Amino acid sequence: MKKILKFLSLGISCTLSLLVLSSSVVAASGKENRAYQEINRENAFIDPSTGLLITPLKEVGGYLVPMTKEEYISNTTDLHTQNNQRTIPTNNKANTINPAADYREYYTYTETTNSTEWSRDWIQVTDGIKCTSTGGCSLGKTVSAQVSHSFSASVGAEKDAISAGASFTWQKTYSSTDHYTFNLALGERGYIAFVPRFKKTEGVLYKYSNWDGLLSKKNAWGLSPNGGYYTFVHTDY
Amino acid sequence: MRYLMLVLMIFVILSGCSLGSKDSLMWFSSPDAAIQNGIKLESINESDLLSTVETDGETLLIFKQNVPEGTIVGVASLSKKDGQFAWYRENDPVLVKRLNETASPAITCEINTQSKKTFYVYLGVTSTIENRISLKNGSKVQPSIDKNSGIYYYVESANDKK
Repeated sequence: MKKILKFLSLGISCTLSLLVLSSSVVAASGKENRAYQEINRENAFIDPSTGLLITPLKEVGGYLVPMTKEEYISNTTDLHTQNNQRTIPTNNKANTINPAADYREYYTYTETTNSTEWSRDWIQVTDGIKCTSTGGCSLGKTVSAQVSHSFSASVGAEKDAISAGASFTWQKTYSSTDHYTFNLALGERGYIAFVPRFKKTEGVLYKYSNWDGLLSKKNAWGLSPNGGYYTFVHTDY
Repeated sequence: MRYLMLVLMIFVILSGCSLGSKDSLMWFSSPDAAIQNGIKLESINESDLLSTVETDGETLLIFKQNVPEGTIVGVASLSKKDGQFAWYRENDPVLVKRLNETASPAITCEINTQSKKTFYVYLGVTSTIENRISLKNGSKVQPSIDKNSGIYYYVESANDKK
């Protein structure tokens, strides 16, 4: 806005300068008895906003005469101030229409508790086996499992806020690969499973907008994988 | 200019990666301090540390931990570098003792140290002091037993067999 005003004031100054020059020429040729003031470099000064050498003019008694630097700066400052005041939005939000691009929503998360817990959802990492050998069986396997983080929230920005607000270092995934041999007795049957461990954060998720402040809040939690252990799960089938 | 930027980006990425892996271990000036840090990392008590086994130039630390299903056993090792020590565990623990069950399968797990050495650790539960177990090579040995929990363990180096 300031740039436009500066450009306009510069344009006005230049136009007025040309007018004065032409009127001076007219005065010199046809109206010799009319008093006029000559424009020369001695009256010019550098416009602080544009850096150009200018001679601004003002009307006095039907004639245009050069302004002093102080007058020009005072007038242009007043003009800028008035224009700025016009563009300031009113406090009455009902009457204010802001551009949609300025509006945004964001989330923050405040942790209230954290804990470590073992998952109840075990991951089966081998097929089932039944030992039918009288001397027992040896189930040797390279087993591997992968676990990912999870949240009470479904929106990406909500998840990001929870993981960022947790009091511990957040881990998105955990991969495990190990080699175990389980020695089974005759008749034993089952499979090897991985039991994941999680770090859990619980707290409150706040939703804000930059226009209206707090929009809503709700309880939320997140689980970050944190290791686990292997076990042989006995089955009856 | 484009190539220079690409080279710089690759350098930054590689630097980040190598720093990350180096920083994943916490180093201490004494073995005790590293073990105390390991106890904290595993969320266990000092009494859960069943044994410290020195074998094949490595220090292995066998610990137990109670979980809702029973008792798990994990094996860590003590990494050494420039006179400093760190708790290192590459392999996940295994459930050796199930709640309300006297019998549990005998388990053998392969443990790797940071120096790329491999060990076989034999684990299980016994109610008798005399409990000889069979190793992979067929020989029988008497493992160490934790009297309180009945958990037994025996460590064998796999490096001369590989």
